[in-house]
Amino acid sequence: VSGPVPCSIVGIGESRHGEVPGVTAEELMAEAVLAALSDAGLTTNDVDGLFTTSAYYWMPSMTLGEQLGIAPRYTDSTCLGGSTFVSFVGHAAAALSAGFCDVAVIAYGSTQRSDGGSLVSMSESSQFEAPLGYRYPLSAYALAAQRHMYEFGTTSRQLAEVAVSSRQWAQLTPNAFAREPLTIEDVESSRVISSPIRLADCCLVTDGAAAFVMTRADRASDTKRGGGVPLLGFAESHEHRHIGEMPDLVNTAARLTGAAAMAMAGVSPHDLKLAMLYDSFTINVPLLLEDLGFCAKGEGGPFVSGGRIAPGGDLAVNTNGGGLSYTHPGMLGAFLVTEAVRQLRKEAGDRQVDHGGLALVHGVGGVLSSHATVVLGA
Amino acid sequence: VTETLGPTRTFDEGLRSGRLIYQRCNACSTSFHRPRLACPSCGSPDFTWLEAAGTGTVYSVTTVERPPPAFRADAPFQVALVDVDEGFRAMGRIVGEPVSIGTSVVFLADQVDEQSVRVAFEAVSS
Repeated sequence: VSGPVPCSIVGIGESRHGEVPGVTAEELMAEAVLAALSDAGLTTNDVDGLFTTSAYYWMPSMTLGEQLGIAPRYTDSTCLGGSTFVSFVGHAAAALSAGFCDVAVIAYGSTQRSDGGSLVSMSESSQFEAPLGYRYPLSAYALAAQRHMYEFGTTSRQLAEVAVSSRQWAQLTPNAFAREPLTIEDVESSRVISSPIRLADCCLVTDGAAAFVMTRADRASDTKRGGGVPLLGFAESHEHRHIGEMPDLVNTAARLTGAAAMAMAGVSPHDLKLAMLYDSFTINVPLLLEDLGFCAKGEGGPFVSGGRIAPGGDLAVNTNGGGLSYTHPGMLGAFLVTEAVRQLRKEAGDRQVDHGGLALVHGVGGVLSSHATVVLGA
Repeated sequence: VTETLGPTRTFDEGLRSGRLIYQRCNACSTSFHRPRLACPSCGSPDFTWLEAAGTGTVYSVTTVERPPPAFRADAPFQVALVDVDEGFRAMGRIVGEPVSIGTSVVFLADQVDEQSVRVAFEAVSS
């Protein structure tokens, strides 16, 4: 499988996150971009590729460019939901490979928590689904979870294990938003929103921003980060937009993107000890572990049980606490990348894992709709 | 101006008249529910509109306890994905008795208000 010319992530940055009143989404995003550029030893004057999407700004790369005084040669405001920023790793690599830009900044930011604490979205309502009054996107994930339980015997307790494992990682992460102790009983006694999904099965709603900088590998040595974190594999896809059109609720397009990205990187799931998986809801984690090949189809429930994805477990999943406990400002993808890079640079403090120099990042957008897999090295 | 209804409006008109209509590809016989200009399986733009009897089986279902504000008075209620016997999957409200995966159901047009009708299903009493 051929890929783009070698590219690297040479800088990462995050804004303050959690609850950050008094600032706009674009300001938080700019805060993250400036941190990422500082991390790379670059300035806004070096940036000639700009990638962002938003639920706040109709033409978000223009808004961010204007805010930072960046007039890019290459600009991309593609919206694929929360997975967008994982897809942007590949889109930026393609643009860098083609010579359309030399320094790409990928960024996201929002103030969802300060704006009322529920999902801010420009998502259009579906002719079929909106009149039914279900909770978008939550109920769509609930339908997938219900089907997974029916076909494979997956239990609410197993889903609760995902939330508890995430919380244990967050307790090792000083700036995670939710760090108070959480037990399986706490999760199972939280109120049902749309069965079988309970409140504690859902990601956080926070303010926050994250950004990262990519260059071709031949330019990476010019940055403060030397060679940076190399991109080894990438793939993206989508098979549907609405949950009613998803061919099979227990098989996602991660089957395709995981296999393709790992083939490009020349690795298999057995080689991986660190996975950053988009956990908007707890059901995502067993579903993705199955579809990415970490376990057989239907075995995701047992796989996440007994602390196997918690600190000290067999596979480190979402080492900062993920969307469930670290942060989730509407879209998580950029934060999956920044945490993977921190781990690969061995800057993860108490939660540092022995990853063998490999990490897999998988983004999900919409209602299990868009998928993007990235394999990074060290 | 000649008004030609596109597939979406055609479906809507059918639902407003109390019928669950769907498209069937004349080239490969694939049935599809989401209105389209061409078959999602083979790409043929040659299709026929048919009316479904509306019987089917629940593929998945969720009980919505905390809906968006506009629907709070209805809660709790069920929303299901139903595999309709004619070969397509449709999402609908469940009216009447609660259902679970595998329950046999039948389509009904649920008149929400003067303006709108939504897809609904109810359990077939055995």
